[in-house]
Amino acid sequence: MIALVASALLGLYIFLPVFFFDKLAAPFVRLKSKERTKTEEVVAGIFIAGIPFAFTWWLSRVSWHVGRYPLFLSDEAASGTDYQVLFNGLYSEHYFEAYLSQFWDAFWRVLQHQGRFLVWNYTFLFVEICLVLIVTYNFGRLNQNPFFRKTVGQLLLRRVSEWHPLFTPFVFHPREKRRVEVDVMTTDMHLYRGTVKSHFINKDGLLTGLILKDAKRFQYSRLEADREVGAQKPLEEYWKPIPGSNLYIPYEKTVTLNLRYELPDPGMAKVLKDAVSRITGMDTSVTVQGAQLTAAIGHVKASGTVSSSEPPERPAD
Amino acid sequence: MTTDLEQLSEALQKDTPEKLLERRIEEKKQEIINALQEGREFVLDRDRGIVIKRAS
Repeated sequence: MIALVASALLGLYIFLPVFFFDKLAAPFVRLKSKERTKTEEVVAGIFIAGIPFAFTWWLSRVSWHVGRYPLFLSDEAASGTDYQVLFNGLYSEHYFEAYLSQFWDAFWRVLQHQGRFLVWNYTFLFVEICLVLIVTYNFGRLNQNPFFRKTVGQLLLRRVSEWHPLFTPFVFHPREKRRVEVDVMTTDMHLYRGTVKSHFINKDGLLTGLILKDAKRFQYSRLEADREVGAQKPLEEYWKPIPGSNLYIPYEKTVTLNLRYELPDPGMAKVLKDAVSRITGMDTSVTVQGAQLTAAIGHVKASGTVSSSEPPERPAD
Repeated sequence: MTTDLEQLSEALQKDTPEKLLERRIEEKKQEIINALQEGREFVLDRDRGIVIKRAS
């Protein structure tokens, strides 16, 4: 019986809070750089469940309301004696039969006491989840604050997969609504372009593949043929849309990744208009032609480091 | 792979497409001014499809 009660308490105080945290704070949980070991899972679980528990325990002592609501108990109720009677009754059948009425009195008081504690424990757990989600969704905004950057920001970045800032607009202000555009050179010398929809990492934190939407393939042979006859066309014309909404590219087939963090086109046009007006001192209008506005900012090589380089030169058709 | 994510984060924010384009505008400042004064459009980069013209 003791084992049964211990299991229930373990479930209510650790496993269930961790389950809720994993489900409700999934955007934060997904940031992790690699799969945790069993030991790390247990430690993380204790930490996740321990914060609201410790907060509830502390507030139960310093706050009259938390100590008595929502299930009101008189001051002498659910004392250590009640827990002792309960434990003895669960441990020994003889004790249970000899002190039946005391056992049930203690049982109901302990139940109310635990109920009150759990109500506050889960309340603070949901507060913890909300805070974690706010920080995750607003990292780019909050990280502009030097205090946040040196404290929470640093802690958060330590647990984040290095691929996450590269393939999502995680580090940018959410108001900017950037999208991640990528040019991918594959081992069969094809050059693809598209918007990164999602990326996948394995249990060791290594990238396994990318899903691109609105993907296009560069037709290099057409470009060469046109050059031979002296025809000059905008390079945009050589990007052939790939049918289907999603293109999966395995990382093992990837040679280089060229990433760009694009503003929405109207936002980009405004930024450039302001820049031109500021630099030239003339009132101008700026038009961004076509859906593809590209400006290579770097080259993410297979190692995952960022360096300046030109886009790939000789893709196949 | 070990990466300093703080440095990576700063690098990504520093080299955004619009900042690079602003630098290009700075480089092409005189050409843009000349074009605009002559009432012409200025294509910052044909492949990147950015057309600068006088506000009407």
